[in-house]
Amino acid sequence: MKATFPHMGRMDIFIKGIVKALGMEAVVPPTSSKKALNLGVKYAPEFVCLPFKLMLGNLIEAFERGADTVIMVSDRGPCRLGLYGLPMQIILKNLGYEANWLILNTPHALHGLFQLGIEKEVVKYRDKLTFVDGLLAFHFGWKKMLAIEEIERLSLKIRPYEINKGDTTKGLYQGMEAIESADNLYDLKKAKDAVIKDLRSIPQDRNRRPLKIAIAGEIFVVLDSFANLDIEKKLGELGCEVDRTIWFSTHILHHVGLDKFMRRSKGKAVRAARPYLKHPVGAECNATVGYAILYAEEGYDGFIHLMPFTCMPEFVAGGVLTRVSKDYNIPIFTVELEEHSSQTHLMTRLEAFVDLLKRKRQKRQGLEGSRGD
Amino acid sequence: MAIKVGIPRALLYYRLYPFWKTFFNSLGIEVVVSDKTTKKLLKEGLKYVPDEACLSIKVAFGHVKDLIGKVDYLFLPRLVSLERGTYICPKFIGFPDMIRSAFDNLPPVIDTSFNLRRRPSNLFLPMCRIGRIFKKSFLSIHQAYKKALEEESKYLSSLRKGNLLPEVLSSWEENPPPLLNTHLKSKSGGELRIALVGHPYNLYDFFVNLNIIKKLENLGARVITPEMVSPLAIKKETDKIPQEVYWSLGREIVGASFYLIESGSIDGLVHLGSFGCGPDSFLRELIADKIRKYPEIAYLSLILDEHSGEAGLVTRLEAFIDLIERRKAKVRS
Repeated sequence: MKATFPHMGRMDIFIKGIVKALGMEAVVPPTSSKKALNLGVKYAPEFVCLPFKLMLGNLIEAFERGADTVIMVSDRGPCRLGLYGLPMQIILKNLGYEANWLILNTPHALHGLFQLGIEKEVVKYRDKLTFVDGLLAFHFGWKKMLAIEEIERLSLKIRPYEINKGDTTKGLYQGMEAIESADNLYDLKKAKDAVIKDLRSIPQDRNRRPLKIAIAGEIFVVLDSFANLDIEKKLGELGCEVDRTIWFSTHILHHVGLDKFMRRSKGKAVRAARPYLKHPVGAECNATVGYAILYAEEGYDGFIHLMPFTCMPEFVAGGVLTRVSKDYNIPIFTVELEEHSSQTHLMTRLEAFVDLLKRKRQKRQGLEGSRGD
Repeated sequence: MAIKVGIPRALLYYRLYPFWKTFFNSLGIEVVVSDKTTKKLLKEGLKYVPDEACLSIKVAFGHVKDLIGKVDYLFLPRLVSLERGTYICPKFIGFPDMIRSAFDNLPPVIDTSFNLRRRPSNLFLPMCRIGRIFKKSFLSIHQAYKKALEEESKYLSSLRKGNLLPEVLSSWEENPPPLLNTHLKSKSGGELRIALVGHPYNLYDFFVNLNIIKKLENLGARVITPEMVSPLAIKKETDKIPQEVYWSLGREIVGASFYLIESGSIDGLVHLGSFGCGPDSFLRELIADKIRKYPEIAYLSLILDEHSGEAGLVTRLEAFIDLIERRKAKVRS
């Protein structure tokens, strides 16, 4: 079995960690790139959302490298994600890629893993491996994921202060590679500490007072830096401290029900959105609206809402956010991402948005002016 | 003076209007329906709608705008699910909230949730909630509910007999759109049998689809719509799909198309989708894949938006019908 899976942000590190520890084989599709996107756009239905197109491109590239089994998540609606497997199977079959599909028919992480454990193809491996092996592998993958997220979080904090533009990003990419190549928990810890030290030692100007911006929206485009055109990096280099609301780990923890005590849990956001959305719409819609309210109350300067073009739940969120923006007096910028989105276009719009936030802050503080740039 | 409740002539109006109307009328409440879709009505709605909306939502915003000021209550039920295990569309769930966020001077909105996903027998509960808003007694609500169900089943059975929905619906409407009176009454109509599939709010809004049913009939076709296929046949077909299609309208469209394609009773199939519709993008893929295995059935996929030009549509339909006729002539000779 040569299993493959579509990319979502840095989820590949998590899965690679598990697979490596178990000694199995997995074909990881090349990182999402223009090529994958073009392949996806060529064969996908026209009005399907961006994640579908990127995932389809990933899978085609994985098949070219000899994959024969696809692991795909699914749920029971109402967002289109739950049905991704169906048209993908049709499209790939018509392209001549026959494959075995393991569709994990559940949004619940643990249940999905259990389902994967009893799949026929996976059972073969179970003679050689014990339950404890599986648990340890999962633990290793999870730790790796947390390490990646920790340095990503740190980079978001440091980037607005960096003196030489691009230092943080360079350090981050190097750090990710170092963490990715770690083989055991000891190496991982060592690599992580080294990366954190490196990032902290980047020359910084601590006198700046960066604008605070939160990013929320559809999970795939928030997590995937290729899909969202590196929006965090762009904002950071424009001098904004960015906080991302969704991380891979928080998403999993939410589904297992362990995020209740975190400061900004999805459950809290959904409750905060209740005056505006009286029923769960699906996917991240309610949480997006709720996060806008929570961050506005915390005194954030701006809020960016990311959504793929034609996304159904986030469209509802976008409609409701116009009212939230008025009520809480927080500028909200909805970015729709599709295959034609261009870097420069987004950059221009972000510059305008950041300018607006700066002016707003200046107005609020009298004319003393911020040193935020 | 009786209380007036406004129902927008959009979204699931085409399916549920007889039910709502009977229910409200038996409670002594007057029902006001928004105007037919026109260019002006659509334009008014566009001012309020977020730009990335699908055409159906844009139209619905126009109808809501039309009702503001004319009614005491706005009836925008939150249709989460009307069948076991399905949803309608995420946009339907958030529709009342979007309306509330977009408009400032709204009359009170009735946004009772209809969620029959887990318990399909639960329909009376939301109806009770609606009735209680008007301080009606449980007995009268129950009577109205029973009566509404009767009308609903009458409506549906009339549809399944092969009557077109607008014709059937006109007997419940106050002033049916005049376009329908010119509708070809004779069932023998044309000899070509064309299946027209899509969401009901695209198929039966004559402004949105540029009166496609009449155009097809003028070209000598007899139109078959998903409503004419029995739910049992639809269920049989959708059970064959490896994954569950969990949008109830989508399931109906796919099931009905598969049934009609396999039964061999149609010469062509037209899929009518609207711009920006989420489910449509997947349904089209499923239908197109199925129809590839049946080369004798012609297939046309149309996408509607607010800029659809009449001439373009006519040309495509004529070409489509020509194609079928030429194929038929070839088979005969």
